Amino acid sequence: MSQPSTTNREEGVVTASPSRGRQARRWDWLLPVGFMTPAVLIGIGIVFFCMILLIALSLREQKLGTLEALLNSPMSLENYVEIITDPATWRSLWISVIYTVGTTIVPFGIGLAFALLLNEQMPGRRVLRTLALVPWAIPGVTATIAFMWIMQPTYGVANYLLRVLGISDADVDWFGNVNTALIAVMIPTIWKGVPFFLLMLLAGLQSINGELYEAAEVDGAGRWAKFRYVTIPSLAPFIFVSLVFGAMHSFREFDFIYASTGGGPQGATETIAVRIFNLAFDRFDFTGAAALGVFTFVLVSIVIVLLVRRDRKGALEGFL
Amino acid sequence: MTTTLTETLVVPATKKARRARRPRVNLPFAIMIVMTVIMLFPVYWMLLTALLPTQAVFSRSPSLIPTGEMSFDSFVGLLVKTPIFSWIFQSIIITIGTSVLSAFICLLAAYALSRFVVPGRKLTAVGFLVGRVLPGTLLALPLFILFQTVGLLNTQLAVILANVAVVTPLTTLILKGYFDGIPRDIDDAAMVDGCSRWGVLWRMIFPLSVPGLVACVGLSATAAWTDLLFSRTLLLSRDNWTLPMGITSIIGAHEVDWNELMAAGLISIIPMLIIYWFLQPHLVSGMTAGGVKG
Amino acid sequence: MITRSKVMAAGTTAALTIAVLAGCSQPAPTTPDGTAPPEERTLEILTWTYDAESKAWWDRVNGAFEDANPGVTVHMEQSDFGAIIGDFVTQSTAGEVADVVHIPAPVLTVLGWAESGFLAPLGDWLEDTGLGADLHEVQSSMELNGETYGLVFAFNAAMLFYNAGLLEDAGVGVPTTPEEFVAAAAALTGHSGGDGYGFAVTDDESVNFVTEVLSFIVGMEGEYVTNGDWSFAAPKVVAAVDVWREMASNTAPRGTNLSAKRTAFDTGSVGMMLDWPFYYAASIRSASPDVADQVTLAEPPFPVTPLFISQGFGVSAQSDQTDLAKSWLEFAMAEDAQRYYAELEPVIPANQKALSVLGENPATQPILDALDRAELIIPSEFTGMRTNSSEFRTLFTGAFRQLLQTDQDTSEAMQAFDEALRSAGIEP
Repeated sequence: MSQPSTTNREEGVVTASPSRGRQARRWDWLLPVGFMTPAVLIGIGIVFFCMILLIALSLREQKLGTLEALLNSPMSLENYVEIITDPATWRSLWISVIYTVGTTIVPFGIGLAFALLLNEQMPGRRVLRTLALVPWAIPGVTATIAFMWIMQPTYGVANYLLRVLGISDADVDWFGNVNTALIAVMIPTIWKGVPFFLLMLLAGLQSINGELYEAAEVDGAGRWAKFRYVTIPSLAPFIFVSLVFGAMHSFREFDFIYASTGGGPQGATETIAVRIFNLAFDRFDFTGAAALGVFTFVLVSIVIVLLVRRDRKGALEGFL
Repeated sequence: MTTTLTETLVVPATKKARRARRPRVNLPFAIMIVMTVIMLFPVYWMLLTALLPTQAVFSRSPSLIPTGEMSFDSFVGLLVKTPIFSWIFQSIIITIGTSVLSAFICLLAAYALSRFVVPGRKLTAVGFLVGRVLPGTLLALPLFILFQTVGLLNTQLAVILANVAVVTPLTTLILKGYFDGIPRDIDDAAMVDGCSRWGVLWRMIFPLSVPGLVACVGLSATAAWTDLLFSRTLLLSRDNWTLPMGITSIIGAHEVDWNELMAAGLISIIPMLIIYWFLQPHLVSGMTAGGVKG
Repeated sequence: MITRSKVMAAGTTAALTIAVLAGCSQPAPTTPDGTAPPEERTLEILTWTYDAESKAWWDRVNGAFEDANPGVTVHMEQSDFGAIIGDFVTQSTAGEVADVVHIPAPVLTVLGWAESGFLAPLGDWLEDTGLGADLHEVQSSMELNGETYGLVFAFNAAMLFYNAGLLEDAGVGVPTTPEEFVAAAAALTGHSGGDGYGFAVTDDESVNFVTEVLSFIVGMEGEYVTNGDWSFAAPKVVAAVDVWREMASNTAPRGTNLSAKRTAFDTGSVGMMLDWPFYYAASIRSASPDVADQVTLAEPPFPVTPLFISQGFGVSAQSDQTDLAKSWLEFAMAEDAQRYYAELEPVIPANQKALSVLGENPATQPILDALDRAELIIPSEFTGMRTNSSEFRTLFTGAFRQLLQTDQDTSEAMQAFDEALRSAGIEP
């Protein structure tokens, strides 16, 4: 009846079953919306509520107080002015960008390697696949402390290995030195991020229709060609989703950085997420923190909208 | 023809590959072992910290291989001194709740996004992406107020909803990607045979989307299991403590029992490993077997 | 095989389970304002110290309180130390918070919280009960604009912890002056070719770093504020900083945060450290077997003993039973409760009447001796510094950690630091 199709993007009208007729049209609209409602309500609604509240709070003069006091405090753009004119805000954004890019690309690469490997037959594959997911399951608290111990300058096993392997005799203060701190906080984040990419890409690899490879072979495609023209395009949606959501997750990451450096030294690791927390609970300036949050939200939203609108054929178009 | 790594990489894991070219040394396996050892080194270190006295691990020349002094006291101590089983139980409730609820609502939403031109779907997709920008610490207060308002403070349901809210955008879009990969012809064929949309979803699409669902369940379960922020913000009573909260409490007001802390961290992996283990076979899609024929 | 019916069944079961459990979870009980006795009331207390070690104290005080107030139950809310500030702020803002709050690092938190309206004024109550007269003068740190917003519950003096066995092996006597301190640390470091260090400092970005350096400064009679202006560049301050720098750079492990420093001491890698006395009992508990009976407390080898307030109690302004909360405070601050706590921890009780308990144990006697010549490292009147503690700390850690990582001249660095504070607009 039908030939297997590689893309299934059918822009257009809902296919009504021939046996239903006109009556179907009214219900056909209701059904998809109904299907969407719970996800939208919970997935977007909750965050939406939070945003509204945060916006309301950010437009106030008073820094911290009970909710009533804050909402009754005079409205003012003071917080936004402070945020935008503070050079620390822009430094934080820049650090966030570096941190996010580093902790997204690297685990993506490692995860892709793992996924390609684990897609092959090998003894104990099930065990290896399960083991590869372990970093994910470890609670953040434990992982942070474990890495802080491992990377402790004087007593940590990382520096010990460097000493023993003859690479370096200095007790590198990974978290304490301005130059190494950002890299130091990226390491546990990358470590914990690999399983996510592994899972996404492995699931994606498994979804590739074997017949596509056969068809490509029939057309005379060699190994690299198959990889380039079948594997990568089929993986594209998964690559896109994992990169975008991985980046979002990294952007919000807080626990590792706060526990190990608190945003220091001298702000070298103060990403926006850490800065927001410090404003709210260290300086007791909750409305300022809310303003920074909203401001960041607007900035990132603009970036995302631009990304979506650029309408590149392929991964993006087919996905949204 | 000799086998190359590239060849073994691009050909999907079907019998074909095995039959035709069998490498003498399974190179992917060897590489995998090395990479796994490196990746799991921190976990190994946690294990050593749990089993060895602190002196042996926190030193200028730590013992990489435990030599004789191992003791399981920390594990036993945990089981005896702390309500770790209660913590595990609480975490299990929240994890199951989150996984089931998010799988259900994502299935529906993803199907709708994939098969229909839903009004406002681009907006929804953007909304999904954008809602994940705000750091958790900033959301703590509004969430507290939200659940306080609807009277769900200090309940597991609140934590479940919060976790589902965080996970839904991602899982929905993953599933949508999966559904897009399933030809519409299946839907049409089923409907021609008199199946309703709902029926199509459950009888035809659902079984084919198992790998995608497995990825989603893995994601939501992990998020719920390791969540500390929401449980700490929304659960006020000690009886409701989840495992991450319990582990954090080992960092005492006075001193920290490092052995116990690491032991607790390791114990907390076990339930998740069990879940991952059982999810494994379902990661193989029916599609690679060429089951999509008219 | 996964069939639709199985999934539906699973889903329904899960949904039902969730619903039942959600219904069963009790939200935090609220209490009515009652006057008729004995009414069922619950007093909620938020703390971070309701753990295995201090539980005995809490249970005793709560038990006595409940006996004296029939119908009242005390409900403890345990948050961990890292999260309690966030929890209190979040809950106070939302208006659903415990009645009594155990205040961490009051020097840094009380002013901000009082200004935000989170703490109830206690001045009148203090006078009425006469409790004010019994409290140590450090209580003045809990005041904002002349009104008292909290009670100092216990405070700490920076004490010298030393490993008696290690000192003996190196033939080093217990130091009593800064010079002896430096010499002892040097003698212990690498003693007989080993890996050991003589001293350990807190080397991170936290408040603990600040308090330790300030302990050296204040301990050696340096005045970092003179005539209302910053004077870190003053000769005595610079001298004190040099001592700290010398010990931290050459006789201590690097990059140790507070828990790493303590672990190093507990495992016998480090011979001495400065720490708060409450860690004494904890140290013995966590120390390696060969170290546990060597841990000894001594007076700090400084002319002045540095003091820091570590714990306070406050009544939440949002509470609708502040009277009940205040009467609980009376129990907590009573002489016998304070004695018990000081004994358990050990720590310096705020209620002066309970001080003598420290002298009853020879191990803790040094604390009492040290108290004679004690001063707060952050005096109550430095309100500017306290309100802007976060900015102060950022500048401070920047300036002082540089001293450990570079060769910068101490005096120059201190001058630059004074300047940085002034240009940031932070006044003492």
